[in-house]
Amino acid sequence: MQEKTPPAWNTPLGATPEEPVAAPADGAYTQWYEVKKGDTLWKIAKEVYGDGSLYPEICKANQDTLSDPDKIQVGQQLRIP
Amino acid sequence: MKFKPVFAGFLSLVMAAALLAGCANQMEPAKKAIADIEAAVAAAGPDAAQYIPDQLQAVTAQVVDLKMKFDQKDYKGVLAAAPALLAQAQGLSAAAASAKQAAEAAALEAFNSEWGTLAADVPAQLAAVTSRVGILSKSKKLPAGLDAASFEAARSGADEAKALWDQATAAQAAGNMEQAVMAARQVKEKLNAAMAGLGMSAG
Repeated sequence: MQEKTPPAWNTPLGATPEEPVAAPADGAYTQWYEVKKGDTLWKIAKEVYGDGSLYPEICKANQDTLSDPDKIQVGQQLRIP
Repeated sequence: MKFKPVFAGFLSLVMAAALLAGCANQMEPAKKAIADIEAAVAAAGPDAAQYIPDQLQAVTAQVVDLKMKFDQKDYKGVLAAAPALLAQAQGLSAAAASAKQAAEAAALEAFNSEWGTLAADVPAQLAAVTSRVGILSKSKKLPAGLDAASFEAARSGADEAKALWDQATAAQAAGNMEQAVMAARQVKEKLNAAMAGLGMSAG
C-alpha cells in the first residue's frame, strides 16, 4: 500500500483561533522529542504513533512554541502527547 | 513438774495448727488475687499484645512469679505482691488504648502524606497515558516496538487505572484514607506498567 503524502503544512492545524486550547502544563510525564535533521512533524508522528497523519496531535500540544509547523528546527524540543 | 514436756508438746502442736490454719485462710484470697490479675490482663485484650507488647510481657512475667509463689504455698508473699501487680494489670487496657490511638494517628498522618504525593502525581500520569492511548487508538499502524498485544494491555491498564483512581478519590472524599491510598498505589502500578508498555519515559 502506498504511503500517503504529508498534507501541506499551511493547512490550519489544531484549534481554531475562536477555540484556543491551552497547551498542557509540562510535568514529569510530559513526553519530549528532540527534532533531528530531516525531521518533519509527519515523520515524527509516524515514528512515535506509527501514523504520520496524526501529526496534528503534536501541533496541538506545541501551540505555544510551534507558530509555524513547517518550521521546526534541529534541537527543538516537542511535546509528544 | 512432769507435765512440762507434755505442755510444751501441746503448745507446739497448737502453734503448728494455728500456722496451718493461717496459711489455709490465706490460700483463697491469694488464689482470688491471682485470678483478678489474670482477668485484668485478659481484659487488655489483643490490643495490649499489639501495641504495648513489652509492658504486657513485664506484667505476665510477674504473674508467673506470683503463681510460683502460690504453688510454693507462699500465700503471704502472693498477697503482698498482688495489689501492685493488679494495678499494673489494670493499667494495661488504658495504656493499650492510648498506644493504639497514637499508632492510628500516625498511620493516618502517613496515609495523608502519601495521598498528598499521589494526588499531585497520578492525575498527570493518568492524563499522559490516556492521551497516548487515545492517539494510538486512532493510528492506522502501531509504531515500531509496540505490538498489538502490548498496546491492548496498556489500554486496558489505563482503563483500570482510571476506574481505580475514581475509587481512590471517592474513598478520599469519604475520609477513608487507607482505602484511598491502597487504590492509588494500584493506580500507580498500572500506570507505570502502561507507560513502560507504551515506551513512554517517566520523569
